[in-house]
Amino acid sequence: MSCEDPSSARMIRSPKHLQKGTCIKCKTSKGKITIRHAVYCKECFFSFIRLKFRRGLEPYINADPLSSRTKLKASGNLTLALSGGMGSVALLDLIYSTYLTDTSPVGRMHRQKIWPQVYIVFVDLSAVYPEKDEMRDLGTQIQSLKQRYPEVEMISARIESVFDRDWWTSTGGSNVDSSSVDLKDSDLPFSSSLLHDDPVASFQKYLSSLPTSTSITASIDLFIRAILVHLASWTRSSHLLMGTSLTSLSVGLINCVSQGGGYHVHEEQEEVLDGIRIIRPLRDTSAKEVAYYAWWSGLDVPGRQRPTTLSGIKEQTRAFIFGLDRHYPSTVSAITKTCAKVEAKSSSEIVAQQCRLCRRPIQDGIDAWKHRIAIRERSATLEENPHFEASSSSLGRHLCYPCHTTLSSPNSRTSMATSNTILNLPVWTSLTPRSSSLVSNSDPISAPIPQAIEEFLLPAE
Amino acid sequence: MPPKLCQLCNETRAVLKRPKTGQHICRECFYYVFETEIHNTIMEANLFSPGDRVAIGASGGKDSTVLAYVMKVLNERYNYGLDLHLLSIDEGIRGYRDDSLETVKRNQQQYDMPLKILSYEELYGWSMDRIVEQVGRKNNCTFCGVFRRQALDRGAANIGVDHILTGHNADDIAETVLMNIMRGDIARLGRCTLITTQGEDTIKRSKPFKYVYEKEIVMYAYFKKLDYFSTECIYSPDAYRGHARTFLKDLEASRPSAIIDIIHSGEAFEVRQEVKAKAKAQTTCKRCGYMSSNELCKACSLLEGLERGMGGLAVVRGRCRGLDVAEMKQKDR
Repeated sequence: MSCEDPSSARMIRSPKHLQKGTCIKCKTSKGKITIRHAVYCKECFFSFIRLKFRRGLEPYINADPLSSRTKLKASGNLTLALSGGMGSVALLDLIYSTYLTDTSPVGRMHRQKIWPQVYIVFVDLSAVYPEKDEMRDLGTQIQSLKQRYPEVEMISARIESVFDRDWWTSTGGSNVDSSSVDLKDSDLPFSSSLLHDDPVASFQKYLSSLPTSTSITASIDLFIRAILVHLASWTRSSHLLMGTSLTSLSVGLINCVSQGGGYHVHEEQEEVLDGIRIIRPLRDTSAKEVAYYAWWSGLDVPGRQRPTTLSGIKEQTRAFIFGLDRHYPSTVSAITKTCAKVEAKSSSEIVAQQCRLCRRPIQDGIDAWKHRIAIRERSATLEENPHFEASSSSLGRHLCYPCHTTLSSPNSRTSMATSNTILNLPVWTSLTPRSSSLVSNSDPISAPIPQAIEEFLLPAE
Repeated sequence: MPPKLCQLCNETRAVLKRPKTGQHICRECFYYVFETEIHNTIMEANLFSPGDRVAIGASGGKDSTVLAYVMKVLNERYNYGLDLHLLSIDEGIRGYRDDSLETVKRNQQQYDMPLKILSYEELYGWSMDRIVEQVGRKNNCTFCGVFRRQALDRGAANIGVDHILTGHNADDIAETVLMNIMRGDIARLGRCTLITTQGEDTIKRSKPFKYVYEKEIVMYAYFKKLDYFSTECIYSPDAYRGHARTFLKDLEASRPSAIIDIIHSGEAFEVRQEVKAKAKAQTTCKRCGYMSSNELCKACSLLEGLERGMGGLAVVRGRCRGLDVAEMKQKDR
């Protein structure tokens, strides 16, 4: 088997799902791949993937969803997020081969371009792991991808740019004063003073001060999303496309639910921010299908910059869902289907405030809920006033539940550090909030300690 | 190194690290926060009215034992004015339930509450031992779960209570949210985070431990030296739930707030109106009168399958040997 020529190589077949027979679609060619118990030949597989891709994108292209589908015309440019992973590389190829070349059926049909300009945005994560050379090499590999797709324009941004006011304003952002927050207090008091001006130092300080590895991953994801939306806005794009596959979307949804983001399940699937529609056209295509598409198309996949040392909720969810995908693929699609059937509970008619960090809506009454279900202070006021509200000078009241948890939820093994907890906030957070006798008396320590609670009991003096 | 002081009272030496918040606290403060949080949950949901007759579903395990104890304490401390009862279901599992029922009987003496025990044998004519003999260990949890739910309602109707309390804790609820998302059970997903559920013909059922971590229940039972039965059921656990439970435990190890975060998620969303409109309307079982979305309720279908020797197949024909809920309510009146 050669690694150089993908056409001469075959992926190792899974004996469990291997089904002999002819393609279910054309009924003439020999089947090459089994997808959810259906066999497809290579040609039919490609047309099946393209069909799903177009079904996942075209209904959202025109600004007015009621306009005729025959003439697709976007109201702005297109920005495509490129991480270097399989999904984003396959998506770039699908966009290019479907809409940007004259040889494709849709390209011929739409001689006038759907989007005036197509941009790909790559966010360089080398500041997350400054010691790793391969992180730096990825940028070069991504640049080389552009040669295959000459009509697209590439923009590169560094993740630490979220702390760089000069970069922010030079790419169309408002002129803002950065602020800092103290993580020691769960109400997260914040001030307008800035600790230092170096974006790399601010970024690294931010990550190192976070309480859990889950918080680090969540913050990195949040910063990437913020940069993508910011650059999409700068490039006057009407659409921002992500290469999220069905499997990755399931990971994202369970990760979102596990971090308390039930209120944002809809936004996790599709959202509109600053007039930019964020779409995941591969959301009906499994990771396996995306992998076969990339492999059979001979795409050069540089690989994503995925942290390998972190073991937070996202990494565990990823391992869990990819395990399910191998043996129970229908469960993975059930997750996305279930989440598509729920929406945020509308508790009041007041227009929801936007979270200062992630800019998603804030649910009412989070402070009171948190203080009611977990008492953190022994004061009379808690019993007298269960409808607690955080002080107006705290960042806590301007954050949604997942972002507040990201900054304040402690680890099981270590408590929150008692010093060094003041850190700079990303540049956009300082903008004004947007509207939008039953008991024995004997010493229990002498009784055997149940294993489940052993690690939570502190040693005697 | 000087001993750590309790982060709540700042006076006494801390003896534990609270799984829910990560705070180091003393024993007295632990009792205070544990009990007060449950009281807050009860008051926020307005669970009781003075004079309510309330049955506590008691299995003899840690959750129901701590629930009985805490309810007795809170009822006296805050003058809820409740008439508390213990209600146990004997599934007929030799070597497991017979031993745990002995614990319940001791709890009855310790907490001075009336106890009612109902068995599957008398309600359905089948014990779990006989069911497992016929269906094997693969799906037996389905039978047990369906039968227990009805049995509790029937037992409650039998002793004339208005309200059943169960010991479902935060871990159970978080696990159910994940499980319902994974298996696409929209109907259950919509109601699994509700503190109280009640059908038209069923008795109100509540979960006061909705926000209480399983680990804290074990801690409370340990420090208070409560008498509970800690052996797992001898029949295989529910494989699907086990899958979700393992995943949840991994998440909790990463970030202890994951359990409460998942519950918060479950409370923050609801099933879309257009999906609700398509859902099957709730009706009553033609055999026993219990709530059902089909002609026969799940218990009657399962019983029919058993009687026809068809194991786990829920056949929609035949005779129900269960007691009629409506009939029992009539008798009570």
